Amino acid sequence: MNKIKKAKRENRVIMSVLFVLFCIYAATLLLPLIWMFINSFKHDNNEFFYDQWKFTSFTLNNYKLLFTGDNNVIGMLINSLILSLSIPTVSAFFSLCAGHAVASFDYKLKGIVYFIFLMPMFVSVAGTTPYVYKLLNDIGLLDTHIGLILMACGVSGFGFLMYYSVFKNISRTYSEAAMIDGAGYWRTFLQILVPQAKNLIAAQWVMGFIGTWNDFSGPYLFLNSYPTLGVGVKEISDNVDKGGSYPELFANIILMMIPMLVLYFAFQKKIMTVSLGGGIKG
Amino acid sequence: MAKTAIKQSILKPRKNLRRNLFIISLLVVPLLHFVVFWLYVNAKTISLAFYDFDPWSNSYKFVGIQNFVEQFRHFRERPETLKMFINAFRAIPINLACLVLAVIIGYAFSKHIYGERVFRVIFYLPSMISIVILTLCYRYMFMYNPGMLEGPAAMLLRMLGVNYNGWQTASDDPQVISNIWWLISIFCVWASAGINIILMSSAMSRIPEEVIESAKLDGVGFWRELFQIHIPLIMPTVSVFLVNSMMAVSAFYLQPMLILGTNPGPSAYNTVGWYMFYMAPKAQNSDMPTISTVGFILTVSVSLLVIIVKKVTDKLTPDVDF
Repeated sequence: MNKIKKAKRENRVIMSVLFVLFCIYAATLLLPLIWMFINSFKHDNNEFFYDQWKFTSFTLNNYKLLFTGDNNVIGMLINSLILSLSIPTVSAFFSLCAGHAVASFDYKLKGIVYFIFLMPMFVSVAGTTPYVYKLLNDIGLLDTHIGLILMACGVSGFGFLMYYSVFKNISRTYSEAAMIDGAGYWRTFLQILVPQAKNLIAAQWVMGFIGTWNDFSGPYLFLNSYPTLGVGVKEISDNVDKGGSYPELFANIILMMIPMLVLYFAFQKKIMTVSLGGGIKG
Repeated sequence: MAKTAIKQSILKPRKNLRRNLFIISLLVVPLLHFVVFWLYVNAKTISLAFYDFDPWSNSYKFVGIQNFVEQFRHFRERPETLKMFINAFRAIPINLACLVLAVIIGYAFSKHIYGERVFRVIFYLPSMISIVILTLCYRYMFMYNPGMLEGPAAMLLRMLGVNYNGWQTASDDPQVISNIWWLISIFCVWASAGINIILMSSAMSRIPEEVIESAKLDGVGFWRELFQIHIPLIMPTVSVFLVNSMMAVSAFYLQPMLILGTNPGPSAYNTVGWYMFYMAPKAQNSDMPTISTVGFILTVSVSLLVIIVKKVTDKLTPDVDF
């Protein structure tokens, strides 16, 4: 009995210490964002340097400048939107196609196809980026949106596996019934089978949207003439280091963050259930 | 009966043809993508490690392992080429630090620490924000430009009496290099905890309640429960994490690059991934064999590490089903 009591007391002490540490960590995550938010309403650098934590002045000028300034933020916003809307869509569509083709039919080469789609998960070769760049350049798709979207048409191991298992678990009688009623293969696929995976598709799509919106290296390398918000913020921050306006940069950052925060709070549970990656934030 | 059998045998080939056409139409784009962006690119990357570019004939010539011999000679003669590899492998200890943190935090979550829900939401927040923004946040927090911007973290350090001289510009002084690598590593751990916590705590949530209950009745303490019950039972997840983190070695470049804010950075901060990223837009035909050789060496060493890690974690995984 004594032992249990001791363990309980130990538990309580450690949990309290952890609680304090968690609070500190949470503060380090939130405060920089709040700091940027406050300072995005300042007139200029001097006001910002003078007091970084108070609304000493309030102006929406920096947000107005986003749309009227020389940085062409509207263009960046459009580029970001084009990519973030199309990339998860094509990627989901072709993953669904591949999952359906492997899970719902029996044919000779099925095993090989399954193996092919899982390959990229297990084999990763270093040093391919320059070759992809060269390849896109050779086929004339470098610096075009189409090039980046085309690269997303593949089937990545994880998404494929998810849709594969969804279709595998749907009884084939559903599609057979639809076919007897005269629906074609495509119609059965799009109207009967795909809707059954719609929760998963939505979650994956939102994750894809966020990933593409926040991506830096893809658009930076392959779409250099059409900066997205991520690439643009980096460029603007480089100018700020040389004496540009911090508050204006912060307004830009807030603009880039807001859609993500909205999505996060709207789909929080869903996002957390599908994000089972890991590793270093990149 | 006989009639339907005949009907079926006539209809079947046509039906099969339509079905096969449908399957082909489903698969044609993903398979083409695989052939072009995976098979072709990878085959080209690997094979060119064994070729050299001949400018006179404007073509590649097979040279066997000569590129590798040369690369290993460079390791001895030009330390920066070796540095690139060493820096890339820094991703592994960083990942391990992330893992330890994620396990402890996930464990506290599984024990329903006070405010668990709020912490969960806040800790995951960095995963929603672009790394560009996160690195900028981090930089400005520690920025110290006398007379201009003094970031809050720098201010705090000064008030605590730490002799902090600001975000040091990258230089070749070994002390500065080590400081900056510490800053980069801390950033990575700071920014990546969230996604790993999700991974670990969802693995822990699958541990059956009875196991934990019975440990509680035996008066097992906080740490003993973690080390003897939770960690062994989430070993499969840890194993996957470790394998992924080995593979992350070749993709480790955005963090140092964005924190330093320069491209290309001084050689002391270069990683293999950064080298690839830097070379991609400007590589000429004659650079391709070197790129391939560097990539090949990294691929082989990472694969060896993955095999070792798999062997070790398989040994550590208890043979239980739940």
